[in-house]
Parts: sequence; structure tokens; C-alpha cells
Amino acid sequence: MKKSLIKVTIVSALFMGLATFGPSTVKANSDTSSDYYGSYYGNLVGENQFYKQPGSPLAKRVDLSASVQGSVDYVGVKLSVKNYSTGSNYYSSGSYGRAGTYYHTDWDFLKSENASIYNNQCSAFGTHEFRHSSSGVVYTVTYA
Amino acid sequence: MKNKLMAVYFVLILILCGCSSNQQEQVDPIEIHNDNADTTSVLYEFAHGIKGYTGTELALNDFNEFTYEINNKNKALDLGLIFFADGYLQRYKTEDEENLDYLHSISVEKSKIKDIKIIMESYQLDNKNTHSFNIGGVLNPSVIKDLASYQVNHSISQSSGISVQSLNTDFQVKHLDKENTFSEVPITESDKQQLNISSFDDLNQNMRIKVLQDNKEVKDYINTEKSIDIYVTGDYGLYNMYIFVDGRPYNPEEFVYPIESKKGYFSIQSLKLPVELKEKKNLFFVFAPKNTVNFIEQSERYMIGSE
Repeated sequence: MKKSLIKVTIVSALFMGLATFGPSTVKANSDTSSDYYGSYYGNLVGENQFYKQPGSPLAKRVDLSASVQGSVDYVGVKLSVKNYSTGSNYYSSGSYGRAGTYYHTDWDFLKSENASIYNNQCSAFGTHEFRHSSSGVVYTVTYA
Repeated sequence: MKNKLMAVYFVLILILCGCSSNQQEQVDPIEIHNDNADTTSVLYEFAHGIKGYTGTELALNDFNEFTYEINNKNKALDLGLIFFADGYLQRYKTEDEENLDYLHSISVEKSKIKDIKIIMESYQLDNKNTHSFNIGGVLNPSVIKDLASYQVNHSISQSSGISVQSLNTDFQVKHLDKENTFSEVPITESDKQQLNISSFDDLNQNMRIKVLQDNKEVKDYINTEKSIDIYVTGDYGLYNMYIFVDGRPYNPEEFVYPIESKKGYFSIQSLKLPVELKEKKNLFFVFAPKNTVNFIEQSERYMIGSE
């Protein structure tokens, strides 16, 4: 009886784990990082994440982040969404501040007026940057 | 009996799991998956700044000769260094290139650190004792042949502004006096929506820039034969605006425009470009702050001509 209960508990815990931490919390895309940007600022981490609906090629959201240790004059991200075959600009946006980490999320950058890029035709160019007495920048590209 | 107990126990746990899953869907209604894992890639990654500079105040003499460092963390790149003092683009030479120029392109190999000696012989400055120095790097400052190749090329990253004293200097100091030719219009509610702000306080030290031709915002291609209106707004700041063509400053002695950004207004600089630019490929506008609070700003980067 005891052995059987232990087995059931383990199997059930696995089910619970899958339900709680399964596909709905997996990040679609990441990422890049670097380990050194001068003696004062530690790590600059740049990250893009496309979030999508299961079974659909359509991007629904893109997240960017820049993180640097300590307070600096500027830390921020810029997003530029383009048609990846023509390079035409559809959308650009950005967020910035003076804190150590900055995040930027765009939920609705694929609006109906840009319907032509719904067919899996866009790429997101990210700029993840800090500025201080020296500066660091990571340029990334993510394909939807 | 044992089996029945186990079955009840199992069902109970599954019900609990179901509750947990439903709660999560309410928090984030968009389900996401990882079909596109590993499609993000780094294009370029680097740091740059005056070697050994730790944020202390400098004297103008310190810029007579100094070492600039580019720490390349990824694939090979060219960085076009530009130096602004009081918002004026400065000419300089390097240990490798003896000619004075407003931009020298520094090549840095993959995952290498490059130290380059910068030499300045004279300055264009405002007539005051404390000056602002702002240093920027133009990524791959050479001609980009088509829009699809533009990507992040010609993006400008910068080190922060440095306050500089010019007492007891032997350098030639030249005061450049340019008349303001920009106009102002109040920002409307419709403009605020377009800028994605609810209050002017949402504009921090960064500038917002839009470029119009025939009353339409320019997208991708710019016609250098037509008049251009450049709109800027943001927190208060005085800048000099320059034209960059094919990744480099275009005749900065002549084509420099003082402009002011302030909350609640668009400052508009209208200009007509020289005919010869029709034969060039790339164009954007750069705004150099006349202080150490604002940053070097850059418009969208355009292809010259039409699709």
C-alpha cells in the first residue's frame, strides 16, 4: 500500500508539474548575454522573446530587455520590426531609464494595418544598450 | 479496495492540477510555445569608451591626445567614431590616419579589443569655460546598397556626456555662430496618441523625431529633391542637427542646424538638400546635445530615392 501510494504521488506530481510549468510558460525565444563591459558595470544582457499561439506562426508579442548591474546614465531597448525580405519598416518602439534593468513589451505590434506581415514575414531587430562613462550595446535579430 | 483508494487519490490530485492551470490562464491569456527556439541571433555586441575614464571631470587639454577603447564581444565590425563638443562635430585624426576628419572608421576584429589613439588639434566650441563632450559610434559607416541590408547598420551608440573645463588651454577655440531657423507648433491630443504618451511627463531625456515630406511621415525611402520637415520633441534640450549621408557626416561646417526640444511642442526644421545627394544611398539626421544631460539622438535611417 505504501509503495503504491508513493508511486501514485510521484506520477501525480509529474502531471502537476507539466500542468503548471508546461508550454504556457516556456519562452519562445531568447537570447544573448555578455560577461564583461568594463570594470564598473558587470553584465549587459540583451534578450528578445517572441510569444506565439500554439499551432500558429503568428507572433503575438515581443519582449526585449536590457540589464546591467548598478545604476547608469541610460539603460534601454529599441525595437524595430521589419519585413525580412524587403527590409521595409513596420514598427519601432523603445523604453529606457536609468535603473539597472529595463524591459519593454509590445503586445500589439502586428496590427491589422500591417496584415501583410502576418504571414510569418517579419523580423525584430533589438538594440539593448547602456550608456555611462563607457557604454555597451548588443544588436540582435529575431525571426517570427 | 486499495485500487479504489488509489484511483480517488489520483483523481483528487488531477482536479487540483486543473485548478492551478485555470488560474494561470487568467493571468496570461496568451498561450505560448517554443517552436522558434534558437532563432534569435546576435548581430553585433561591443562596448566602447575613453580608456581608463571613470567619470571624473576632465580638462580640454586631456583631449589633446587620448586612447579610445572598443571591446568587441562578437563578430568583426567597423565603428565610425564621432566627437561632439558643445554639440559641434569635431575634426580629429588617429594614430593610423593622419588626415583630420569628422569620422574615422575603426575596424575591430572578431572578439578583440582595439585601442586607438585619438588626436585633436583644435575645437569648435561655444564661448564659455565649461563644455560638454559627447562621443558616439556609427556602426559600419559605409554605403548600404538596399533596404533589406540596412538592418542595424548606421545605428549610433554613445558613451555618456563628459563635462570638460577649458581653462588654461593653448588650443585654438573657435566659436561657431549659427542662426536658429526652426519653428514651433503645439502638440495636439492626436499627436500624443501617435507618440504613445498620455502626459508630456512621459517624455524623458530622450528626443522623439519624425520626418515628413508632402505632409506624410517618411518611411524607408526619402526624396532628396523635395523639401523635408524634421519634427522633434522631448524633455528640454538644445541640440545641433547634422545630416549623415552613407553613414558619414555630410558637410558639417555648412549643414548644421541649432534646434531645441521642449515638452508640449514640436520644433520643426525645414530644409532643402543639395542636388548631388540624389546620387547617394543612405541618409539620416543626428542631433548632438549641447549639454551632458541629453544624449546623441538619431532619426530613422532612410534609403535615398524610391522603392
